[in-house]
Amino acid sequence: MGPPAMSRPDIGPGPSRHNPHLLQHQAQQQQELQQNILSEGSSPKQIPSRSSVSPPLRTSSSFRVDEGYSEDMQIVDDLMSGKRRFQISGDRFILPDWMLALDESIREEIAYKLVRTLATSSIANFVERLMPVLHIDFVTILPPELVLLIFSHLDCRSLLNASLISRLWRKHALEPTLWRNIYKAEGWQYREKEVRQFEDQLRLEAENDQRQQIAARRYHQELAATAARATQVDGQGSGPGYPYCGMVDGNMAVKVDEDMSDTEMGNEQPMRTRQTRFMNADSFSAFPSFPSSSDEDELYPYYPIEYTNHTPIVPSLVAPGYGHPKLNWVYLYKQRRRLEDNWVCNRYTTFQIPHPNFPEEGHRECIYTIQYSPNFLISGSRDKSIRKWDIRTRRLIGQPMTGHYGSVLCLQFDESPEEDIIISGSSDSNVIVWQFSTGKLIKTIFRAHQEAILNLRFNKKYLVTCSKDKLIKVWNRIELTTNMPEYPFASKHLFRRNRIIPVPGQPLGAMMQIQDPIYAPISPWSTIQILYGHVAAVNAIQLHGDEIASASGDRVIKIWNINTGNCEKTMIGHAKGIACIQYDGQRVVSGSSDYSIRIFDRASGADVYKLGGHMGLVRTVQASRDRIVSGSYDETVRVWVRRGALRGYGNDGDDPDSFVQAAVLKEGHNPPTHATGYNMGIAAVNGNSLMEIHQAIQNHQQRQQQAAHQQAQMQHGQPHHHHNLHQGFQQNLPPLPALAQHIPQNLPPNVQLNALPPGALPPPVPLPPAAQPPAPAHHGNIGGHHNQQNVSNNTCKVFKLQFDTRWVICCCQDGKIMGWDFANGEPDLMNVCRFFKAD
Amino acid sequence: MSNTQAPATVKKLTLVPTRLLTLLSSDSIEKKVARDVAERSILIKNMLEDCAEFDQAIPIPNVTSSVLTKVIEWCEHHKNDPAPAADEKVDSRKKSTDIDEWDQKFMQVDQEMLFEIILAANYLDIKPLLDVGCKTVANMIKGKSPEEIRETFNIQNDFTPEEEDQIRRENQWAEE
Repeated sequence: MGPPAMSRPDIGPGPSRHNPHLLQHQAQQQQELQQNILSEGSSPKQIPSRSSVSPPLRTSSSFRVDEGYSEDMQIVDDLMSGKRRFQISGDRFILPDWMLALDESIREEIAYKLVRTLATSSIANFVERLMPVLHIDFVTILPPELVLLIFSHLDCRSLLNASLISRLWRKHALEPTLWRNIYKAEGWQYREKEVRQFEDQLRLEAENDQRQQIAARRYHQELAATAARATQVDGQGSGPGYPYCGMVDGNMAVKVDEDMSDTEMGNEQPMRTRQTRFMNADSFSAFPSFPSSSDEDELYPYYPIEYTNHTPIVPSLVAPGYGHPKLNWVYLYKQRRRLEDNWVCNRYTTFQIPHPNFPEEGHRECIYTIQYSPNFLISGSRDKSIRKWDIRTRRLIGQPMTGHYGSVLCLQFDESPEEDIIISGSSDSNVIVWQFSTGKLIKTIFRAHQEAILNLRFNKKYLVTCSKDKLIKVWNRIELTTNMPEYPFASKHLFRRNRIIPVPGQPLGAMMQIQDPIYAPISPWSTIQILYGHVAAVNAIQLHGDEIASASGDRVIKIWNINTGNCEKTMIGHAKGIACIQYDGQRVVSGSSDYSIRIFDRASGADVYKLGGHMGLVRTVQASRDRIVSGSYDETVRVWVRRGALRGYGNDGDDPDSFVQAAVLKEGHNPPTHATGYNMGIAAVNGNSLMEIHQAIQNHQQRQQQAAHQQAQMQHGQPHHHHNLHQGFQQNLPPLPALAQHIPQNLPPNVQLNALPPGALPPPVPLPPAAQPPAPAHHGNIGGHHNQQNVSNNTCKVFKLQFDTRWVICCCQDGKIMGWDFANGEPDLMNVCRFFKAD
Repeated sequence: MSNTQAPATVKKLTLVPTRLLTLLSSDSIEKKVARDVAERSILIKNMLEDCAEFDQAIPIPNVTSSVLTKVIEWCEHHKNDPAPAADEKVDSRKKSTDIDEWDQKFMQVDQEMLFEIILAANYLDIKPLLDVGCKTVANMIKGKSPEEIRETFNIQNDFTPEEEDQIRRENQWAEE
């Protein structure tokens, strides 16, 4: 065996298994050399034989026969003058011992002088013959784990180049584990659970196939053996114990056996088709037939796939692995690249919830909040209800959850069986806890704040709420006893409520007495911390570890410690009130009614980047490492990309961590066009896909113009708007095939019209941008400030959005939930999106 | 790993200062080498930990003297390198194939020697040397066209022209 140290469990066989490849793939003259190197790695006992096989490539003094030559130059002279002669045996030169015994430098000199006597064409031949000495295909001589180690230093493109060098190279270059690392090196995440389940399933199937093969083969052998005995022992064709050849002669018995073997092959057919499901035809055709069978096969099962040198041309979801088929990360990487390209190039399909065929399932009024998981979406509306949706069918699940007396402004859910919870906050200042699976109301926290609950977030231990009443409150989700580290000994609130105010002059004992009752267990859903500091409505909060980030109408962002209740940082930058916030521990991303998005650095508190482009209050924002998606009252959703994440990003002086706008996802009509700045932004960064983006922008503009035109024709009114909206969608890009047929030409049913009763405006509807007062609270500016015109023009204000690797989903004022699917209806892509996790 | 190395270093400094070991190559050539240099090899280090006293030459059966000389030269130069603590983490994005200048020069050898150094580093368990070797080979592949790669490593193309064409077309997804 080869060098033992690097053992990778999933690689398996060492160099000894490798020999077949070596012989198969090597040019004739190379074999000798590789054998040498291999044997050197294999067994020290073979080393001495090396010198007898061929002249050592690397001499060491042990090979020097000590014949006492000292007059070195004399030998050269002798040679030149022809005194010494080579022996010739057959048609091969054999170098005499005395020559091999010379110093390397002298032999080099001789060889050089000899070569120089040759014609140039002969020298060329000579160099050609030396190729295998100087240039070595390491893939054939190194153990696979070392080849993979070398390949692990290659990037995507180099690996693909390596994959077309030779079949053996291809086999290694497309090894899934290499590509998983390439996938990870892009900073992309994947759902480990999903991957594990998939691979477990593959392994299970492979093992079953294995068992079937063995069983089939054994059955085959037994039949053959029996038949052979039948012909041998019982030539007349009848005998006890072999009933099935009772009435036939020997020849017939053999025939029966063949028949049986046919059925046995038939038996095995399902397994093969199951494998072809994963693999392409050429890999299938490369399956060798069963190897010679023996009991050893059961101990060391034979996996035909492993020896396949025909790695399929087009990668598919499953790759032949060592041992058993594996999830093919080449394929996954390729699809992910495609998905990212779709984001860059604006390739998407759109969808909406509720399903257009079932508009009656939708909310009656505008939707303020949504959250989705891979399977579910929960929405909360001004119609006071919360609805649960199946994200695939886009249908309502169960009955709407009712219990709030006002608009549902915020919610969060966790569908995992151990949590199974939805928490919602409302303008009625109550917080309600629901059971996710059943929609049952579990607990109402009445008057959680003095005014509307504008946002809430929870983790396993705490619920944090913020309100128009300028406060942030922390609630315990589980009972806290004094022996728990979470017990809020330091809580300002506890301190206050129990009125433990050390009065000067009071004896210490008296104070202790008063303090006693504080240290009792605290029941769930109690306020354990109140964070004072903001001087206007707190519009949004975000929970990260032990920290809370809050954004307020007072134009500042604060970072709080959830345990101490201390405000640890205040960030200033926005010119007007802040509506939304995202915090990841390092970066705060916020959207404001100054129309900008800003990125703050947690450590320094500095306002690092400003993203301008929106023409209205930025109401909702989410950020991943490389992408920010924002939604605004200007009725657009905008996608921003980190410059450093754009392929083709060069050293043109741009800050790799700055963001550039990549797309405007339009829901309604007449979005402010930003084409110029947008073009330039991209052009400066990404030369490669510029054309495509340019195209997309042009199409986009055309569509906008068409939409504007249609709108002009139709004048005013809600129905026209809705009509427009759907046409806009259809023009945008072909919808999902499955959906296409369902999208009615003439909407809208009355339901949607009801979404905006003129008189009763939802509290959070903002002021028209121009009339927006400089500062606080966008929320809770009840009714009166708005004029009628504003309402009829702006009906697609985006209230809340969420995105992951595949979707952007947002809810807006017209009571529908819009989705953009960047899998773009491509079946391959849609099939693997389940493995991708948002970064 | 770094935990175990620390006490060993202390022991060396206090009890057996600059003790010389003898390594025996596969072609029976003896090499004298300082213990701390030899202990860059985890294989040798573990061997020494297992046997308190090592008076005879340590056989390195898989490595010839010329390769061993080269490997020792590397260990000599890198004997004071900090222990690769938490190298798993560094691995993630430090995949870039930058090699420090001395190592680059050191690796300017013929291919046979290069691959033998890799094999030896693997056998002797000298991870940093193995990494440098692998990176060197990777750099010989990077940025080269398939034809150039075949030439560099004298590889026979065993694809049919049709197959190669198909693969090239399939690989185009990465070119955009």
